[in-house]
Amino acid sequence: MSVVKELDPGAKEALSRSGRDIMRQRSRVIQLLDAAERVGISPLRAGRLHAFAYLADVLSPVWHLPAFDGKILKIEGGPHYPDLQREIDRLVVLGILKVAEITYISRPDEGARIDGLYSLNLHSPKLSPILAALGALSSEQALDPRDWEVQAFFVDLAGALATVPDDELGMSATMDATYADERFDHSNVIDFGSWSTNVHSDNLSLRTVDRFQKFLPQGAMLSGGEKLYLYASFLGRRIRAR
Amino acid sequence: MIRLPILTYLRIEKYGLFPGATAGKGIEWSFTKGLCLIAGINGLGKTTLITMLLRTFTGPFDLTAEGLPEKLESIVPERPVVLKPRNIRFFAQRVADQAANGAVTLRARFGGDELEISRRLSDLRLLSFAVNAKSIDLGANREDREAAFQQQMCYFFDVSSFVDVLLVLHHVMFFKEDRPGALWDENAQRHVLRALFLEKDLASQVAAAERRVQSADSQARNISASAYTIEQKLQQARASQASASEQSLQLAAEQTLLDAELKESEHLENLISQFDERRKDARREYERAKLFREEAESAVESLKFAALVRLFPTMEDAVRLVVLKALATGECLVCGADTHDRLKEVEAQLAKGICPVCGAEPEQQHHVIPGFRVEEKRVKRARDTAQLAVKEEEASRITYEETKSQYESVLDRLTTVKASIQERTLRTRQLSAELPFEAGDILHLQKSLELTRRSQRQAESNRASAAKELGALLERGRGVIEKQAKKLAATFKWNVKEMIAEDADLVRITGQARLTQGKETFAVPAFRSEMTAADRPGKSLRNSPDDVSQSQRELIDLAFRLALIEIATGGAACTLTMETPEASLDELAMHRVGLALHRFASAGDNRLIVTSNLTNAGMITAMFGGLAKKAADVSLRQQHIINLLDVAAPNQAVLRSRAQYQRILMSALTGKR
Repeated sequence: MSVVKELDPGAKEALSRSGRDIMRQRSRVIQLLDAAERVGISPLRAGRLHAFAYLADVLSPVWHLPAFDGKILKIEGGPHYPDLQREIDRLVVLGILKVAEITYISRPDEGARIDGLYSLNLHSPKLSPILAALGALSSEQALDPRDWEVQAFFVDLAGALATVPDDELGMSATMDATYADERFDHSNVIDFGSWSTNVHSDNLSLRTVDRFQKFLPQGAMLSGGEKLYLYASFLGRRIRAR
Repeated sequence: MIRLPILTYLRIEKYGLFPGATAGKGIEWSFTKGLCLIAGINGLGKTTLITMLLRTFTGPFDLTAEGLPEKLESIVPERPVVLKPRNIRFFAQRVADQAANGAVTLRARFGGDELEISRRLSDLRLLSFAVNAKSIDLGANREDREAAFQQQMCYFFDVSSFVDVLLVLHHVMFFKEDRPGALWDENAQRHVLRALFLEKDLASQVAAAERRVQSADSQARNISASAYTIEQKLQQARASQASASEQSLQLAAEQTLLDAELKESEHLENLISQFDERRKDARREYERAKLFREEAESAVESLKFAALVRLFPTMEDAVRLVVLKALATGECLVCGADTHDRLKEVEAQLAKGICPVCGAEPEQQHHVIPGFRVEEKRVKRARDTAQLAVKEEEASRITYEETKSQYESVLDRLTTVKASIQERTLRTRQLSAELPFEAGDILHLQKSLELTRRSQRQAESNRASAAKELGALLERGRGVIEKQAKKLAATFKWNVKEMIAEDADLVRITGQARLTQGKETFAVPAFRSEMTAADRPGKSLRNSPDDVSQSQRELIDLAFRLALIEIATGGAACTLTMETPEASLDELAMHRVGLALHRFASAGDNRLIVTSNLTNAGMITAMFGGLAKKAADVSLRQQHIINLLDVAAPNQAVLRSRAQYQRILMSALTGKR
């Protein structure tokens, strides 16, 4: 992701430390918001953006892509990534993202969490070269050919999640089979692809998606995109059944 | 649903330590609902009396021959273990006549049935057993009588085995000093959860499958050790057969190295399983610390944000975010620099109403609501918490990195050793095949080794199938226990907040049952407490009793037991027995805990039997519900005391100062000092 270097004045310092991780997180945010933009669910509230990031992570094996984090700390209210949020805030300051309606939500133990409506700043001159480098425009321009696939996956997933009513999108992650796995209580890390040695056994979302195949006539196959749409519909039904 | 006994009546006869108020009458006591205080100074037999209650149920049996161990083993025995003679003679050894004619009789109610158990104190022999005043014939033979009694106990407790009765007695009902409780001893917790919550058949199947896994593991390891010995002999035989042969020397050297590597590989397998657990714990703590740091910093931001909105209502959100982050965390989001100096400057500007972005004085500004004052105290508190949270995050990050790197280094070493073992095994086979001549004893050893290796593979396969079977049973049990988790956590929270000042919660984690010495572990639901502490932001998980103070350890365990009782019995009444709960508590804590115990004792038909050595009168007052308002209250309270100053054989301290001790007790009863 060396292209980001040109766009970030602090990149040199960042790259000397945990720079790679920072760049990965920033690229991820931009890709997610670009996908949201394409299917018309942008801007996204912080909670929905984190839910989208989580579902993209846990469902990545459906597209045979490696998990980004492969783990999540299960907490009240749904997935939230402090590292990702830090980079979201930085991208706002860098002018690449836009934020509106900032508010603070109360959290347990007198804590708080920022909330706002996030979207890509389409007027930023920096945005287009970044999107190109991340494979959001065409596979030829992508610095890493895999990013093109990642982007296509995000767009399909965003499209699938667009079928979930707006106010239920944040909740959809808590209904996800892996996140809702009762073996893990709050305050525990669910590992579905980070150190896990058996992804198919630990990633219940993947197992659920794979089960859809069983309901098809013999010989019929589901595409990756169809599986995501079915899973989104499954999440929607679980939300409404609560 | 399990049943716990409600003790109703106790009689101790002809036992020298408890002659009674009128010499020779012994102790006769009816436990009425509420508190029963066993009061007395050291040496009067408080522990003996509590132990007598316990042993009336257990008889001359326990989980080990020594009684309850400091920590439970990973598996529980199939049957209760007979106590060692000196433990059986616990009561005999305390009196001159060896308790020759001493006897204890205890009545206990289980639902609608009342049981009466009588035991001889010299050797814990069962004298009689009656249900609803009707004597039950348990047979003539002593062993058969005990076995039949134990079966009856399983029925009345409604658990699958007498071992489970023992677990419930020790880890739920009897809270004795110096024993790790149900929460802190991970094996005890696992067994107690199994005994309390799993359906009886499943509970006994799990316990049996655990024993099978351990036995298969032990068998596989023994055979492996035999194979190792045969290999050594074979190596020696080969070396002596052709000591001059270059191949033989080479083979001997290779074999020595191979043996060392096999040993190292086994050691590394054990290590890796330990380090894996440690790195997972460290990761969980780091992830929690990151989240808490963010929430603590955002709390500062939110206060600043509210102020900024009031001060500059038209400021753009993005600009607000830059100023906010700089104000709250001292970090510039634009360039990443440390802005703590600038932060002080900006705060001073804000205090004077100067715009932090353009530096405009208040009179030059438009759209500004004057009179802004930063809510200093709230901000300071939030900032202090945020600073602690940052430190905590950094400390947990370092631990996480360290444990991760330890794991990776062991894993690297293991991979290298395994590759080397594979190569060396091939080489030794080749060298072995090239040896010119094989004597009879070598052939014999080779055959023997081959057979032993075959047995080893069989034993390993047995272990794998036992492990698979256990895994499936544990999976069935997991859901049952997890369903109780929320209720347990809520009840724990309710109990613990009455007892300790820190904010504590019960958290369910995925624990590991270590039944084999190899790498196999079994995931089981487990509970830990998480708690706030001085100089730490938020709550952190307490994995071991060393992570909390002594009093917190006991009180957290007490809250856990109370939660277990409430949920496992469906809120039915029961008896809880505690030794000196005031030990290690300060004055205020004693009052808090005393009131919490009073609440338990006052609920429904509960009985709370507590010993006290009169060192802390405040605790006694609190357990009775506070100051006695009138003389009738004192008289009522006296009816709830087994006063060992009156009924136990007096020691020198009592003979010298009985009146003073009685005054201390009276003052504890009234609450007037």
